[in-house]
Amino acid sequence: MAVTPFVLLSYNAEKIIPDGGRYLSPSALDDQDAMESYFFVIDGDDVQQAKQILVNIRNHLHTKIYLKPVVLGVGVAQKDRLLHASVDLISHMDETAFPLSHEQEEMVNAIRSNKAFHQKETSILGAQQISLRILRFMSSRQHIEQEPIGSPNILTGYSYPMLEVFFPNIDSSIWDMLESLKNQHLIEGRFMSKAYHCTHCECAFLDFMETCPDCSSPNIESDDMLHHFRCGHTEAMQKFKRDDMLVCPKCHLGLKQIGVDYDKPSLVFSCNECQYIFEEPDATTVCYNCSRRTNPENQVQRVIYAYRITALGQNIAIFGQEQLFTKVLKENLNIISHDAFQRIVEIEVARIKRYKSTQSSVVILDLKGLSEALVDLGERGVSFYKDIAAAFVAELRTSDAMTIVGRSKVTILLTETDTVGAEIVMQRMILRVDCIFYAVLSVSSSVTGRVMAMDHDFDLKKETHGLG
Amino acid sequence: MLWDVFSTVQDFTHFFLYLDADRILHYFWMFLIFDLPRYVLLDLLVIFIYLPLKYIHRHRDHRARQQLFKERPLVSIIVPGKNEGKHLTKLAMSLRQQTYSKLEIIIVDDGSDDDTPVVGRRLKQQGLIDYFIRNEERGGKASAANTGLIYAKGRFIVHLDADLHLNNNAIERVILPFMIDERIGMVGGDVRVRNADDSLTARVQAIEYMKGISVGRSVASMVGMLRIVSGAFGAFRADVLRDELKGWDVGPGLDGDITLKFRNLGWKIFHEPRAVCYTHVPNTLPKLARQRLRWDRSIVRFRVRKHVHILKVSKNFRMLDFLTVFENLFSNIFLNILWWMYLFQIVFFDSEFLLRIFVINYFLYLASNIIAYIIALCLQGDTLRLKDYALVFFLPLMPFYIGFYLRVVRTYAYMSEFICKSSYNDTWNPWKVSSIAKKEGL
Repeated sequence: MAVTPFVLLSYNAEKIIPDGGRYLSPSALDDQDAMESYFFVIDGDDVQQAKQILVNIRNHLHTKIYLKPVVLGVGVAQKDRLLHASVDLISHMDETAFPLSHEQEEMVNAIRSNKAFHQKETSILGAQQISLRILRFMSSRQHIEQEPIGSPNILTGYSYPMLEVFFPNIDSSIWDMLESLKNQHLIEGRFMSKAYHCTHCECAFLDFMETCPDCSSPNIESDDMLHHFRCGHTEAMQKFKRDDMLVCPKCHLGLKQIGVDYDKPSLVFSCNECQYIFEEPDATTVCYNCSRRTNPENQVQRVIYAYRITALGQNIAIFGQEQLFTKVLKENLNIISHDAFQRIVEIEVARIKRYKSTQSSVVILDLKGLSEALVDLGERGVSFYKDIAAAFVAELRTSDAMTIVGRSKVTILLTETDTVGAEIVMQRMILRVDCIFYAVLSVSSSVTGRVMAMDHDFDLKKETHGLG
Repeated sequence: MLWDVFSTVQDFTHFFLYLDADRILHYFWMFLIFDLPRYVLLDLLVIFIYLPLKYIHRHRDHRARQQLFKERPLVSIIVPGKNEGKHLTKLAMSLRQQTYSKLEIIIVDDGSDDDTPVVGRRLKQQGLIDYFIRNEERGGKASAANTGLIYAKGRFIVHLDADLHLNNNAIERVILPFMIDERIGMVGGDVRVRNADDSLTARVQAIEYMKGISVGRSVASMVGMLRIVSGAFGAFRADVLRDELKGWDVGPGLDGDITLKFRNLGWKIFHEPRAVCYTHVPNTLPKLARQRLRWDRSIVRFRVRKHVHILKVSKNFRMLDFLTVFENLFSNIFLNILWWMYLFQIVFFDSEFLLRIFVINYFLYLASNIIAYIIALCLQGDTLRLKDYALVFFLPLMPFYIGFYLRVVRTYAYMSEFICKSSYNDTWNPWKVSSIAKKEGL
């Protein structure tokens, strides 16, 4: 079946489609053509409608929809800077020509060929799911740094246009999410700026003003303090001014040269409302959105980063969070591939069948709760996984073999160990893992396991079927 | 051995008792004509006039205190200084524990390069002081004090050194004279020695302060001839200091200078011996010499040069001011010259009795010091501490300290100031200020 190169999404059903494309209503994203097409084209002149279509795409549950490159017509893109920045490509589309140039096509292909694009969506709901979707999106566009764009039209002052469409509600959740992913080293930030946000409403538009410490009025003035060397008189510069000259009000001599006749040791402030004289004004902020007056130190100060996905983040984007555990385990234990493990087991079964005097066992452990732990622990997750790996190292011998099945299941071959011995080893490992869970997360683990005797008709494939 | 001592004492006693009046005057004129009246007879006025008057006026003092707490005028405390961070917290605590609490505390940092800005800003944040003003460039003490004056809103200004410790009623006591007599423009606090236990040098200074400041200034204040209010602890009428005089002039010796200016305007100067503060004094002789050189040079610079007009007859001539400055110059510069002449006389003309004259002089000066010390004890009364009584054991050192050490230092100070104008090279002021003062002879 021929693939439709692109799908044009528009509220205008009578739109003429360029060659190779197909029209779909924005509510028909589950259509097979939408799923298989190379990219979406959002059509229309209305900015709000275009935004809504984009939000619908990015919030779809299927990777092939929400990660798909989105092309926007130049007409509507020019109307809104943020909308322009929130799509992958801008095209001078007309009713007859294919909307993409050769370079743009290459970019579309790069996104489509990314492994994240072909991942099955998890069924986990909530924040973790959004974080995974963000990671997958950033992974599929790993060449693009997600730069913040400042805009007076956004309450928070800065926007990450490509990412913001994943968040249906306008609140601080995108900031929290990006901060969380950065803390877990899944994305890395490049410093761009710092900004104060209102502690009450997240608004970035704050009026910083200096006020009188006595009456809080912003109607204050500052002046240089002048020190006349000759007589030691010190007063605000204003008091020295006589016509265009500086004359000491104490000794009535003219001040000519700074550094020779006088200096300016400090500043002095005065309030035009209450006449109070002070050395340092108070600072306050007034939020343009909620009008609340707050001290600057009580406002939220955010560091604004441009974000890029890390190698670890890409790993998780492709394989999910459980894969991180596999990586750590491989670094710390002699993990062999599943195929190699299978072969060793077959050799061991053959050996037992021949000599009949020895007995070996296989232990399968299901390490549940690992991904949830990573979400809770953030960057400490790696050391947590290392502790668990160390628990295995402590119990296993060099003659034992180990592999990982699925995302959190560990299969271990215990040579020359009967099921009783294997049961003891397994319980010890479960106990150690349980202790680590309790020490780090203050909860018991839900690790389970089972022991299998390797007799002459043992079939690993049969025993581990359905584990992954 | 004992017999030798006895015979020597007998010899000295015999020598002294059998001298006729002419010979006594010839050998001991310095003590009998100048130092006895100046150090003993004048001090006795405390016993016979000052304290009885104080007792008689006790109800007036009580009423003044009631008036002070009824009116509760704002008192601005100005603390200028450089690199005084280590003292500021204690001083601020001491000020916040005062019996008179309507205070406005202004600390001026005169270009410190230690942790003073950190300490000052912390005290401000904690609400222990009202202002911390940082002058990035050092301008000298007068400049720093004048900076503080701009912010001061009080009816009275108190100038304090940062290393002081105040008795908890010191501010109340130093303000009370203003409520008693509205012609008083300045009040001096009673500066005492805080670190007397540090060394012998500090102990003899403690006795000197008891005599010179407590007793000497109380007497001078009583007779209307007080010529200095210590810069360490002095209170001023703000309207005069700020509006009429426009603050302090360039130092060193700015405390004596501002006192004379108040006097010139006709204001009374008062010393209050019960407004007690304690200061650190130099604890070694070289450090002490440096301090005294600065003080003594300022006498020449300000009394002889800057305010010499007081000694001249003019339309603003005031006899009391004339006498005050004259007494100051006489007792310091002239008597110092006389002391060298006296020394010259007994060494070269009366050398046969040199030892006897020296020993008898020692006992005469010791006796005068004991009398002055007893008067100081009477004057300071309930403000004395137990360790102040223990200073009695160090009185025998005083004739050497005052009679020789201070006179030698003073002589060197006067000569260097008269000949070289050394005070202008003193690092107490930054060079940018000193150079102009030197150029213009200020």
